[in-house]
Amino acid sequence: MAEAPERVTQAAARRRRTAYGLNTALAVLLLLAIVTLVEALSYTHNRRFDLTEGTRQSLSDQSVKVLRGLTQPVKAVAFTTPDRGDRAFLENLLRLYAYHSDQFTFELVDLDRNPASARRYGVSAPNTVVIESGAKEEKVLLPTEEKLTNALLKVTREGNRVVYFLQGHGEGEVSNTDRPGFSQARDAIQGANYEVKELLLLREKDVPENAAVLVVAGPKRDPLPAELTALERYVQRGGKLLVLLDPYQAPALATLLENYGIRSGRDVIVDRLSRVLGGDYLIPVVTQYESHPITKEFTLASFFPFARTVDAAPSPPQGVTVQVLARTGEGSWAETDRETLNRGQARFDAGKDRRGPVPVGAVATVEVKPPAKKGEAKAAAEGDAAGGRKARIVAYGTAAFASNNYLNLSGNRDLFLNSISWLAEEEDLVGIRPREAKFTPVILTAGQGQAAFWIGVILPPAAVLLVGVGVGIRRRRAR
Amino acid sequence: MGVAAIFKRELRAYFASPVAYVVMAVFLALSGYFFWGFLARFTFYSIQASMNPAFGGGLNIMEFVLGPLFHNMSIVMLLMMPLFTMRLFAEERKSGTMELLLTYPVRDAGILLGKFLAAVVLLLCMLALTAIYPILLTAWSSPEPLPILAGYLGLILIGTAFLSLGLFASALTENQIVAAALAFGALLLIWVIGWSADLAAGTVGKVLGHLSFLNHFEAFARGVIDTKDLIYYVNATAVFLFLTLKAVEARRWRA
Repeated sequence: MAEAPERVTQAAARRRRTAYGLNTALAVLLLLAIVTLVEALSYTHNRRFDLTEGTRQSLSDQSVKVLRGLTQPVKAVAFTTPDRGDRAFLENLLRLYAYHSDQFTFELVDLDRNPASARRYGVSAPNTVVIESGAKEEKVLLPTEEKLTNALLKVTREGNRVVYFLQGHGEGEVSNTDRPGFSQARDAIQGANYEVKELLLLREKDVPENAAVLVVAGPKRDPLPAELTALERYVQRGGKLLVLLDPYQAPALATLLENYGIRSGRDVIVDRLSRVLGGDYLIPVVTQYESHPITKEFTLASFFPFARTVDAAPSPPQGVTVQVLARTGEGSWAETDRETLNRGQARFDAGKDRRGPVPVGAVATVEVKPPAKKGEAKAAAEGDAAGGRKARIVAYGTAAFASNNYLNLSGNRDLFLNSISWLAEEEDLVGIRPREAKFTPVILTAGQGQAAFWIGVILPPAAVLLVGVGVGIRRRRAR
Repeated sequence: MGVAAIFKRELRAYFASPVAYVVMAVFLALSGYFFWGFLARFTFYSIQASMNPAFGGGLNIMEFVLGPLFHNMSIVMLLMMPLFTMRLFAEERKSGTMELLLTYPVRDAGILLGKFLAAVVLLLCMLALTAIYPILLTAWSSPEPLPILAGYLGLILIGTAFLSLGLFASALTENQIVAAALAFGALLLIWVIGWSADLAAGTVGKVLGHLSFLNHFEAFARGVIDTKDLIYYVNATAVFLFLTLKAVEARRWRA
């Protein structure tokens, strides 16, 4: 009889423990659920407070503006390898981009472990970011904030920017896949997110408004006077022109260029060095590049088959800045004697021929005057101060270097594409100076160095230990 | 007030035992050594920069001395904090004073809070002693004050998170060494879990990276306060304190 209540209380206690246990488990689960939710929300709705001077741990205002203006999803795929030190830098940078826009997402991809993904984007070097949006993509090597933001602008740009190829005077044709054609140049330009179209100025009155660049690729005959004035109008309104001028062709076009400080010679460049490289005398090798955005970080040689000299005028017209882009090597010269050249003999004639290195490409920037009214010099000055549009012209002494024949030879393709992209450079592309932290040097005297050691390393732990020993002794005495 | 009584009792116990002094001294010795090392390297860079005008842009104390120092301090704290907390509940259980404590007219949460606050004050004392580094730097150069404060805020937050985890470990066992070992293990695991974020792709990787204690410290060390890092540490502290509370309560109903 005495056993029964005992068993009942034990069972009750067990029941109570189970109830408490369930209760606790439920409470813990509930807390974890709440915390998970809070964490998820805080992750997506975070706010940063950059306390550094000049907020150098944050993106610049320009980038933030671009990111706030995003209306379509943009994805960045960053290729790195885990052992690289720049991985953390890259991740931090991309995280800042994602912070300012919900439309921006990014992904870090290990280049070594995802060769398929790397191949799909055509990436071979670590520390490369591919920015893609819709069908457009832009590759950024050695990413910086400036490069990433500009790539972002390019892939989200509304409407297609068109690179026109002038037709109708025997120019290279973009539809022509044969050796002298320009189909590969077209593919390359399309790869850089531009549309490529042919332009018949005989039919159109003017160069279309949406022209990013107009390419005149080696005309065999001169454009008609009406076309030339259309070209001139195009330049005057800030157009971008790439002219590839073959020797002896299109003298009127050469004259037009001369008005903008670009002088093309009545000659053909002969290069003895190119023989060494297995080519012809008439394929000069270009290895010297002048400092310019087009040739920046350019180290490859390029080949200019059957080229004339293109030089910068020593005293260009007002408002025009002109400079040489590239030169042939030593041992080349500009042959002016067409007769002997045709006979397959060429010899340097001192006094007549120009000794190498000779220039084969030049670039001109033309200040476009706003349509100023007479007598209002002040308005014009203000227009200048505002930094109005500038026309840009790049000219090379041969069209063949960008034809299917030669485009993929050495540096030709890069030089051609660099020229196109420099010409087409959008007005809205931004320049962001990397923000460097203030230089706060510490140069210690020997005494200060010792002080740093004693005050920093020895003193604090020693003081704490002394106090501890003191307390210990007092307690022992008190006992 | 019950909490205040527990708090005073624990604080007195800390300063009466050698543990607090030894832990602090070791922490300060290591931190001081790192400080000195980073400063020596920075001095070397500064001399190079002063000889070469093209060099030296961005040579800033926050980036080259204090940021890395804060990082290293957070790792030393990861090793030291369990020693502050291992005793708090384990010893009470071992010596049988836990039952006595539970009969106090203080709620379990009050006991927990008192013990936790005492450990936090110890942490603050320890960090306050490291203020000697920025003070020395201010005497010799011009470091930015706000990023330094952000760094210290980060250290305090990560420290309290470590303490709350240590407290939980201490409530699970009556052996101090076991409590410390549990806390070490858990802290290291949560630390290195961030590494596997690189290996796991997509969301899993992101979650793992987010769980890591030290990933959230990075921004603080660079002078940036991000609400998500702040909330993470507050959440982590709250979770472990809550778990500790449940563990202490379990003493009552399981007995």
